Amino acid sequence: MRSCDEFERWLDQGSPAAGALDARAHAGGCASCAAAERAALELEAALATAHGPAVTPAPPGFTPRVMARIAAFEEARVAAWALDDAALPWWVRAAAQPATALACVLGGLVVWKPEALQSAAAAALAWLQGAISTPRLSLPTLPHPYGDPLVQLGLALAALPFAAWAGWALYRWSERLVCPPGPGLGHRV
Amino acid sequence: METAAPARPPAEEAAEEFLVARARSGDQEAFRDLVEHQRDRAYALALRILRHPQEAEEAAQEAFVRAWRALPRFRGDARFSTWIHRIVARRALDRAAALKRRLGREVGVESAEALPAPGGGTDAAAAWSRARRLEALMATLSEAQRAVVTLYYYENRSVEEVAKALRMPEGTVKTHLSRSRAALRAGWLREERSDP
Repeated sequence: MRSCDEFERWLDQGSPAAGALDARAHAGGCASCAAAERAALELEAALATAHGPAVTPAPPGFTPRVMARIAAFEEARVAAWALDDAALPWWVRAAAQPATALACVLGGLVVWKPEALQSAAAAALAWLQGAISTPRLSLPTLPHPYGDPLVQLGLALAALPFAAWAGWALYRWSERLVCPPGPGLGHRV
Repeated sequence: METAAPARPPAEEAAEEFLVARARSGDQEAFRDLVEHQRDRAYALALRILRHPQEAEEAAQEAFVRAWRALPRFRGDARFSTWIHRIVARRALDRAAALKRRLGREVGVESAEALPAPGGGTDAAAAWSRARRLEALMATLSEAQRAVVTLYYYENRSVEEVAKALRMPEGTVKTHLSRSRAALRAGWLREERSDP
């Protein structure tokens, strides 16, 4: 170890065993480094004796305050479940369902790109026919007046609420299957 | 100089595991027992990082509430005590950062914790004097440095464990340790010269 800077770096690293001999040799001939090493040893000793049982005790009432916060959290969670199920009007709950959003997207597609949807459906049907190797079917041609795009649009719009309701009912049913109602750990933490 | 967490009796560990299992199933009384066992060390850890009794209590309480909420996801890879101390350290650092933003300075530097008075004998008095000097110097470190030093020295965690607890790269932990040692040593020498 040639310089005091190197010696300081060695101390900063926590006086590792590697380089200890060189460091001690340097400190033997350098009063300021010897003082720094003495200070480092005293510090390490102070740090080593500072931990252990002499920890500052928590203030009185600490545990009841923690448990009160947990109780409040649990009450809020139960209230949130109750809110989901009862407090909101049915149409708000229905509007918040993923099925409603899906129905809206489908409705939008029907209005925006009816031809694209029909050709996509035809392509999907053709692929399905190919996959199961059955005689090719053709898409049913709707008789007049159902072939009119405006009539088709009207039918699709009329079907939307049913699609939303069916999606919502399916969602609630699957939710009940995997997650019984009521408070408990693991719910919406 | 890597250190290991202090060993604990197997019976104590088994009791803790039993309480954790009950708490995981929603038993608040079991969780209360866990809080009772860990509160002093959790509070002391937060106090060492924040050096502000009210903020430390808030950080420790928040940590326990977060632990309760996250208990279903606690896989038991580490002991509950290790896990809660990690959460406390992170909460304390977060609170320190928030306070620093709000107040525009490091917190708690002026409010060093009161050390218990020394017992009889010159050795005890000297140790008490050293501990006081160390506490005063710890106050001059940044919160991140205090957190690293506290976990490494006071909680006997390894560099790897400190990095995991504080979500820092190991290199950053080593840098904090190195700078803290330099700062503490410089302060120690300064005080020695002024008060031989």
